Amino acid sequence: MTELKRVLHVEDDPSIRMVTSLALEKVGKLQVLSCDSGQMALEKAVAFDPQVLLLDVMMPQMDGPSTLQHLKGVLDVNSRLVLFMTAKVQQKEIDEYLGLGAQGVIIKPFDPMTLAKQIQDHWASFQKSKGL
Amino acid sequence: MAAKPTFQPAPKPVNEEARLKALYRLGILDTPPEPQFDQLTHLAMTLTGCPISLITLIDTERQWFKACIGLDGTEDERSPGFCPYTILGTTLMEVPDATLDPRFAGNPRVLGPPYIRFYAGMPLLSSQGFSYGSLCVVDTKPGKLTAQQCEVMAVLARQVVWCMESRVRHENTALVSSTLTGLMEFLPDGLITTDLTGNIQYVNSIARTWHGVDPGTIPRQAWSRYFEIFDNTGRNRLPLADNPLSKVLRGDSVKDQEIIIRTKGQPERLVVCNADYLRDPDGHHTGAVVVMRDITASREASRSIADKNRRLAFILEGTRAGTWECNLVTGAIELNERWAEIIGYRLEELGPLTLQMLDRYVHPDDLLACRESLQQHLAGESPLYDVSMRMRHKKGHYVWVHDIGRVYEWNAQSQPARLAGTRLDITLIKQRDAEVASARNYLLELINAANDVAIVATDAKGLITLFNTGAEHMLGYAAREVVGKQTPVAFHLHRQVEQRARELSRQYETPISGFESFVHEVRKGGTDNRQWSYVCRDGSIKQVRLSISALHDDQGNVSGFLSMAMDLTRQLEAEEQARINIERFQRAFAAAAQGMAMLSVTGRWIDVNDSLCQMFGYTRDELMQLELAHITHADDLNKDLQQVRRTLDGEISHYQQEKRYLRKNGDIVHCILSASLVRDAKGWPMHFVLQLQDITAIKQMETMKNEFVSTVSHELRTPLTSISGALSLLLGGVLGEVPNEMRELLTVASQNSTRLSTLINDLLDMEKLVAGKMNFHFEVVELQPLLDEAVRSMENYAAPLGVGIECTGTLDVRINVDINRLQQILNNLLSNACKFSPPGGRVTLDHKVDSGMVEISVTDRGGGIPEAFKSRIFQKFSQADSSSIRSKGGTGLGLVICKELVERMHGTIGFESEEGKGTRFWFRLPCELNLPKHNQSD
Repeated sequence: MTELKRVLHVEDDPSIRMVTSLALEKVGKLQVLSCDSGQMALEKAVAFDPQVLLLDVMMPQMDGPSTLQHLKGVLDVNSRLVLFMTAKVQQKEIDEYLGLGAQGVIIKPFDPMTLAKQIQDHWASFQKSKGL
Repeated sequence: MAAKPTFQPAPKPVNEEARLKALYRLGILDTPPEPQFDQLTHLAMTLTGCPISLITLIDTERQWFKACIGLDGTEDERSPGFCPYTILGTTLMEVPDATLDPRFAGNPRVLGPPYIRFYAGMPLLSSQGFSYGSLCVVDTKPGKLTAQQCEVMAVLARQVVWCMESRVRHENTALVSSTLTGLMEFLPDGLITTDLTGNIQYVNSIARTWHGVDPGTIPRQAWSRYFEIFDNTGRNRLPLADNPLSKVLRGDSVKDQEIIIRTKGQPERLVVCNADYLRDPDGHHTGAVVVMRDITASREASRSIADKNRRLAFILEGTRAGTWECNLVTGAIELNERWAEIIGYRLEELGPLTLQMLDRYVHPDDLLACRESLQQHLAGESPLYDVSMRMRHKKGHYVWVHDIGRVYEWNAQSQPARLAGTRLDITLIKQRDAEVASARNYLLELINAANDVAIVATDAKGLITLFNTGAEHMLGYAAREVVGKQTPVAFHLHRQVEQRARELSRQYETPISGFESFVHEVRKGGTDNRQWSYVCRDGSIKQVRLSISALHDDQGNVSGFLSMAMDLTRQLEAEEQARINIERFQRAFAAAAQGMAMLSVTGRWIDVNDSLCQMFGYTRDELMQLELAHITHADDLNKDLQQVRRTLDGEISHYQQEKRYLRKNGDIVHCILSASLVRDAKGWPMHFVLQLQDITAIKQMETMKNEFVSTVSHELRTPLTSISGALSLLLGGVLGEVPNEMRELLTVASQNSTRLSTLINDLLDMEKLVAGKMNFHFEVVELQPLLDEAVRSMENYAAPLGVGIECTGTLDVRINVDINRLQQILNNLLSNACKFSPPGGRVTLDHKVDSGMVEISVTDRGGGIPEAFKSRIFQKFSQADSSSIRSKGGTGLGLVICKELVERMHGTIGFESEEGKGTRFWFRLPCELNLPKHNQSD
């Protein structure tokens, strides 16, 4: 199983970006690329070669699902774990996101102390599903 | 050398077989000696002078001696015999010297004892020509019979045959006689025979029993002293001349003559006698015989049946009842004459009858009830077939009949086979009932009306005989003041009476005055209706409508008058009042700020007010052109259909319903519709009165508010995520060790951000519930694990408060719920209970089952809910006092959400609380009870 190292995080709210980065880097010992918009992610993703795409759903200009669509143009998204982050918790919406190609949904507010573990768990089952 | 003497046994006769049969029929072989045969043998011996004489019967292999003189023994072999030769012929066979006869010279009975030399035998010939044997004589020296001796032998032989044959006849006769006697002795009938002179010869045992003596010993002349015989009336002793035996002997025939025998110590016997002559085979009279049969019991039985039938017939005749009988298997019907008569027919006119044919006469409306009653009885559900119905009379009208019947015979399968019953004509009873009922109703109506109507009756001259309570009320007089004292003139306006009198006088050209003015025109019949003025006791005047009619006695003479007065004053006042009410209503209607309308029951406008026109943006004329349905939102058209129906049915008098309507410009108007139905005096629906309150603005506000709450709550989450996340990271020591003082402060901040998060979740839940957006995923699950889970998840919360939670219910039930929502309810109730428990307190989670519902309860021992607050406990943002919000930390939405959730899961919620003692919250949900498991494992 490939060890998880690089997480691309797209989030328009700077405070959440900060908390998330801290949570993943300090607690989870992961390498995080924080982007403040979908546009920025598109620019930096290829160079960073992330293993996990962690996308906020509600963002101005380009929201999470469209960011994912665009990323598919520059990255082999299928080989990467895609997670959405949202405060909307209706089952219907969660199903919708999973239908867009995400493997999981992280619900806000999340507990930063266990966020890294949540992502690791998703990573593990993702790897398994890929037969790795 | 002398030749050896020869010996030839006799051949058998040609008819040997038949001969033997005839011999055996005599039944004489091997019987003891009988004197008549011995005597005949002796005679033969004496007359021939021979020393030996025999009667020999020839059996198959032997000669058997019926009689024998001069020889020892009773038989000899057949083959050395002489007699077998004798039976071959029909005449005397004589052998003068056996030693010279070639047939016998070598015979052992010749050569040896008894040394026969002479033999003479006469065959014993039956009438059919068979030889049974022979009568023979034998000597030891040669000899010869004279012609006379031969003749004697022939006669004696015939005599032997006659004796043998008559012996058989005699035995037969004796047998027949003893059989007959035996039969007669055991005959169940009495039997007596006499000889021709009347002497009794034979009395059988039954006759002896009946008479108590053996009459055989009594001479005929003495009979009457011994036999108590009477004629069949039992009143007269039977004269000797009428005795059946006497009558027969006199030459009269006796057939079925009834007599009565009374013997001491025995019940009286009725006996039927048949008597006749006794005749011998030649037809000569030899005596008389009487056979007697006891018919006492059968006569008694038939008499009692006859009696019963006669009694029944009497009863039926008395009740004038029709009778009927029905064979349920064939459908055949038997009726009596009266049955037919009830419907005007003679029995034969009805023709051959079946059950189906009778239906033709039953009134169509009664046929069903009649059949049902029959089916019920046949099915054993009712003891009787009992039904009243109408039958068509021959003349076309209907008569009422009452049938009662029952099954009296069942077939082998226990199914009803025969049904019988009676029918009564109850037409008159029915008519009388109807008349009485109508008379009673009539009186009742009068009495009911009595308070509003003044009824006054007078005698023919006008003197008041009846003054009802209505009259007392109307006129102010008491009945006792006027009855028998006054005429109605006393309370009429004199001027009016005089005027009427003048009119009538002119019209009929006869002087009329006073009371006659009221009644002159009704004397010949009819009713006079006229408006009059009554003068009441207090002097006031009342306008009345007076109806007067004459009363007649049985002979048609006028016996008095009856008047009924209706107070028109009140009617006029009521009409005025109604007019005022209508005006008042119309003013209110027109001026109302709310939209109002009157709508016919068919949905057409009768009237609309200005406010309604404004509300919908139409002019009055435009709106009146439209139907209500046209301005109703299509989705809401049928919303109140049910209620309209219930209102029209009278179940409810009015209803309210929120509905949407369309303004002229297409805008939606939200209204609360209040509709009430106006009925006329008889209760028939007349029209609806509608009030429409425009709540569009309120609706919009509410929608805005809900959307606002939703947006705000949602927007709050993002910053909250960062705040709580940041605090969590700090407290988690991610950025280094946190000093204790700072940790305390950070903990406060963290706890409050959690509270804020809870509040926002509650607000979102609330918004979803109100907007109907919350989805429920129902599944049937075990209750106990859910309760355990709730307690476990609450422990971290309860422990810091020093509160213990115990789970006490043990019933094994399954419920159909959304698991997450149930947990939400339990968490809420448990956290509330912990929150309001004193430190060290105990919270109990219990459940029990009652009538298909499980009641889950959470009990604390806290301060209880203040009385004043109890009514608001399930309202939004309610908490007992604002200070406790701060001290206890809560959103005030928890219980509202619980209530909504419970109700969505088809349950109910409630609580009991006593201030100072504690509170018990409960909710009930539908459940199914599992079988107790420990029973199965036992």
